[in-house]
Amino acid sequence: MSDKMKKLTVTRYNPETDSAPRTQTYEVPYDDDTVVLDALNHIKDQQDGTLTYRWSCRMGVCGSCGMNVNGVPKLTCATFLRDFEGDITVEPLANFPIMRDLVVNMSDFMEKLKRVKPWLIPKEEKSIDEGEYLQTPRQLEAYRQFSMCINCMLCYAACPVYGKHQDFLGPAAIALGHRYNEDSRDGARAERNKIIGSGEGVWECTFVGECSEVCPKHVDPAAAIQREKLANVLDKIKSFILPRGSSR
Amino acid sequence: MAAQKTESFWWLLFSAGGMMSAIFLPGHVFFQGLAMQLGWLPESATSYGRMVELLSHPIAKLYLLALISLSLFHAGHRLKHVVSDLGLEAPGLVAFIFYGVAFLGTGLTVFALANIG
Ligand code: SF4
Ligand code: FES
Repeated sequence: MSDKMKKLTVTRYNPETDSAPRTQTYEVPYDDDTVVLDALNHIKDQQDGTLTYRWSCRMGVCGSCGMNVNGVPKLTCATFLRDFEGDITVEPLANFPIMRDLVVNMSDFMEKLKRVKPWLIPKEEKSIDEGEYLQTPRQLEAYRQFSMCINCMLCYAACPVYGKHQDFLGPAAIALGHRYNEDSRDGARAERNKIIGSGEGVWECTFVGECSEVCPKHVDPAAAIQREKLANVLDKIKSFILPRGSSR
Repeated sequence: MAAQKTESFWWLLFSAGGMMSAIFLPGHVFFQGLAMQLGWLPESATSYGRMVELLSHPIAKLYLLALISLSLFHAGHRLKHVVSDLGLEAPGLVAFIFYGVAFLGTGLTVFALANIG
């Protein structure tokens, strides 16, 4: 490692001794390959073993290392120190309650994910003898992008609506619901719609679009939300014109 | 605070208005705002008489009404959300003002169009 040094100001919070989060500054050596997560690991190994944060894969796949870096939600394993001019601040993901240091409580997100039933609910169950549920490449393309989500919650940290109204179902949960709604093997759109199409679902979104800006997987949750809005309105119009058997 | 029940209705107007204004407004800005003023179009196509004749047609009136009214609702809805994103929490009043302006604009457009031709 080179002798270039970078200052990292990191949020610290120990619920047992601190009444509020505070910050602590560390200096770490870095070179062109050093990511923020490496810097945190360096601090933990060499300087301060009490620093607490989540990580696992180190390659942008597990979604557990999300933090606010200089105020912007980032995967710290994919954020290079070389890209920052001056000092760096590392904070826990915004809009979530802090549990300790850089670790946030994600129960709210987990509960919301479950509410959109993010699994295949076929129109009619097939028996194993009847074979697979086949799909054309085109049918796959309809939802592939929305299936790329790694549940990193960066989009929630970036969303000002979620910041203000914690009841908002939020970008990733809606994108995931949309992913199953768009799946040709699925038949539970009407059921998911009860929550996605509600006042806590898509209609709370004011189309700020920050979710898609920060998404490391290019899921474009904002697009999923707008598409669900349109599908929802079309459903309403259809059920107005044909009061029965309206959902597609 | 959950979104209002009527949100989907306003969104439909917003989205229709967004589509209309994105597709047609640039054309109007170019033809009426620029080309006509700079004399790039033949006089016969832009004379007062020709315009009145054009606007007397019911389809032209309907088109203009949809374009103007929906664009106003589009702007109203967008601004309503901008105001709430900026932190002002008075959804009822804000909606009343912005949609009110859109309704007013729609009324004035109907009035103006009805008086042509
Ligand atoms: S939609 Fe993108 S930003 Fe949001 S949780 Fe999924 S991968 Fe992360
Ligand atoms: S450590 Fe897995 S995404 Fe960063």
